[in-house]
Amino acid sequence: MRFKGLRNILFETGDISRFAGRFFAEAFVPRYEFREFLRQSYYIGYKSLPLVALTAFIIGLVITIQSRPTLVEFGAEAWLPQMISVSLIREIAPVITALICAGKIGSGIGAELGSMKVTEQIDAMDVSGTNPYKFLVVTRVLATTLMIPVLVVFADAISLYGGYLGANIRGVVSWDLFWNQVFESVTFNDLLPSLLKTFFFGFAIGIVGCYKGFSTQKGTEGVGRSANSAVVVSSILVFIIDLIAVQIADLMGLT
Amino acid sequence: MSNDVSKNIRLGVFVIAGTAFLIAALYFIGNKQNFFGNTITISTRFYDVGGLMKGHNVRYSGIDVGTVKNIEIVDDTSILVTMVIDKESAKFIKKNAFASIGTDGLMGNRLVNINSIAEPSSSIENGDQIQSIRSVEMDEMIRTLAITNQNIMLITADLKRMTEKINNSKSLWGLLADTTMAVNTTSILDNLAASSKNAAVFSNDMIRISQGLKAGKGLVGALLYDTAYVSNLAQTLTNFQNAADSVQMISGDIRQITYKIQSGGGVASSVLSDTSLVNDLEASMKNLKSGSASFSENMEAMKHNFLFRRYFRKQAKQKEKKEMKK
Repeated sequence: MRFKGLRNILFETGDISRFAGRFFAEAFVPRYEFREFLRQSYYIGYKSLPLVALTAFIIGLVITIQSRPTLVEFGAEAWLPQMISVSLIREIAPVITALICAGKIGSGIGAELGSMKVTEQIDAMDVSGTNPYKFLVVTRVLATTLMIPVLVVFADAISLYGGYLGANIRGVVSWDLFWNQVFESVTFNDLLPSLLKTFFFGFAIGIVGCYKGFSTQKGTEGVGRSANSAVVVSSILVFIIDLIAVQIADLMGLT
Repeated sequence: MSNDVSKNIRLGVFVIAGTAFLIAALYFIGNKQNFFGNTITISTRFYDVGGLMKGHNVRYSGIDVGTVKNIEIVDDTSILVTMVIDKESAKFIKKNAFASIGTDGLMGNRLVNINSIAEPSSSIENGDQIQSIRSVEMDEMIRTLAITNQNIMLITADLKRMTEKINNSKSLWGLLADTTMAVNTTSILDNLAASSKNAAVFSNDMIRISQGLKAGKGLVGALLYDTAYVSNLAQTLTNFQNAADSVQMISGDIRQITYKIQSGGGVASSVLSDTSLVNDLEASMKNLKSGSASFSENMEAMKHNFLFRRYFRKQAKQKEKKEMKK
């Protein structure tokens, strides 16, 4: 049983890799499903903004409030904006956003494509001459890959605003001073690697969601399972990519 | 279809807003790191950069004006630090400014401090190299402080010994506790004050006298300052000399006379040298004395003689009258 589980994991890893490879093979050759891409971008990007904004705001506020006692202990209360801005931009905002999107978008894609699969709409598409991979997968994966970074930029800004409010609950930090201190401490080395890795987050979320949807089996029961495992796998992938990205950035001296 | 358009517009707004945030963030960060805008590059050499790294701030008189662009080892005693300086601020940095390694706060980031000195010079230009001074290192400071501490320890030990000696010395405390001495000292001081007052008066007098002398008043003044008087005096002295010469001649004559008297006969010589004559003279004097005594006796007798009594009485009365008148 355990052996079978390991085999399953290895099989799935290989299968996802092949699925992702197919994306690169299909994405850059015509014909392009531009309209469908915009539609997916609208749902994935624009429609996720309120959720991402809310979580980013709350996490910025909370991180600030939680960091204050430790800094007060060191007598470095004035460093609060610097500290939270670096931690929010480098790590917290991208990862929180990616996890939220993995939950919302990954499960959505998995369920949507899964139900299309079990109702044999994908097969019908294939028969009617439309490339289902191109129309369904490439557009969605492209949309997640490009929209997650935009959402992360929003999350950065909103979480920093939450941090500004959090810093002003107990202390007094003026608007100008807060942003001055934020941009004092944040450098390109903080912002660019953290933004770069969100493209990979988006790609992982999209590709896992699509793969899970495409490989749905056993009828409607399988749809739920696909949606569920899409969230789980993409969340795990987000963390793995984060780990790799941080190590690469560290090796390149972008600290 | 119109639904699609409105969705796409919203998506466009969403993407543009996100990109705008990103660009704004990049701009602000770049502004802080001096990646954009007008900058110039200057350099300085340090012996020890103390952990300075690329991207650390450069401050001019406490204001961030740039960042450290590059750090390279030039040789075994100098490290070249290249800095990017904002052009607006660079015009205030003079060529004779000096750089030092500092710390932001007590344990913050390292940074390069540029400070000016109060001497005129032209502004720095691109590629200039400014001088540097060795910054005060924390451990170096503590090392110095340790030496200072040891010195202070020795000094305080000496001080302790001194105060102990002072405390144990009875004579000093006795001297300090003696009240009569204080009184004496006061009186001495009073006397001193009085005598100094006298001295002042005396010196004033002296001044007046010397002024008088200068003006030629008095004998000494005349002697010292009156030239006419001096010539008169010289004349007098010549006269005096002549008189003295005459006196000498006279005395020479006198000597000759006395010699003649002594050596030759004559009355004078016999008077002087004849002893028998002296005896005779003595006897004569005795006779004279007894003679005068007899005479006064005779006179007394005459007074009482009736012939002359009237005359003497009259004379006595006249004498009395004269005295009454007086």
